[in-house]
Amino acid sequence: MDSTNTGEHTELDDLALPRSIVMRLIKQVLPQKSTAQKEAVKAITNSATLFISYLTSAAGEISSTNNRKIVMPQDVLGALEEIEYPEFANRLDAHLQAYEASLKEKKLKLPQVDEDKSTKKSKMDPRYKAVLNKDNETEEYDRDELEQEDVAEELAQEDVLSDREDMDMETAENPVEDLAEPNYIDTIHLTDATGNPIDEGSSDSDVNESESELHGSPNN
Amino acid sequence: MERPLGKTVLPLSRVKKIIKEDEDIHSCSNASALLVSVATEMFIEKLADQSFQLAKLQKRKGIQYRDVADVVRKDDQFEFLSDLFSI
Repeated sequence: MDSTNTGEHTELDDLALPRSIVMRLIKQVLPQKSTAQKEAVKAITNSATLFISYLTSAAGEISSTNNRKIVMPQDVLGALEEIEYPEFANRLDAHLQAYEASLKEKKLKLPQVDEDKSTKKSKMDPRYKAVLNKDNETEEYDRDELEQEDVAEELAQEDVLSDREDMDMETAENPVEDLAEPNYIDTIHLTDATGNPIDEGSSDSDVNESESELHGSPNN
Repeated sequence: MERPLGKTVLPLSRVKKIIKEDEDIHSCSNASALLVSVATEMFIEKLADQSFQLAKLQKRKGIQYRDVADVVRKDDQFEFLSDLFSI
């Protein structure tokens, strides 16, 4: 049984999603008291990584046929049809709208956020550590490392991503302006306000995200 | 099971890392990465649920590796995974 799903897939392991989070998602759909064998969880985790590649590749194809360099949300939605997961589209669309609404909200709040930027920053770290410590009760070190690494990466990547987005938005003619515009304006606004508040906003929401997720878990 | 809209429980940076593995992808907007991430959550739930249905048919309470493999073998929606399961 083991030989079929271990061995040659080392690069998949590097790209694996955190086991604890995948486990939590699996547990959510199972009745209480049911379990999932370790190999099964691993298989599902690796499947999830492949799903991301599969969906991304389909979305990338749609954007390149439209002569766009950036993969836009509507490409992802279109790709679901392509890879035969149309049943996900409605819910994803709802997520997209909520996400865009929250971006707009952040934009309005930004001037005040600017003022207490330093206090916010100092608050952020301990809070995050507290969350991690709490998590230690159930999960081992590897998860800790993963999460921290993730946040650092997130900070680095966010910059690159929004920079590129910014540039391409200006040059590329966008068929769906409604979707592109909020991002664009947001980026401008963020960079105008201070030196690098893009990191500020994204890392902050990330922390909140993982925090609420961790708090919620015992109830599920 | 219903989570707040516009958010994902998966680490976005990890999802982006996997997205960036694709050499055909020039760049990907943050909103797109979020959607991919949420879709992946739904995918995990779907695969787990279908695996559990097979376990239940055999009067088991736990998902085993073969349940996941059987889902991939039987359901066209999961055909793209067949290499992973050496089917």
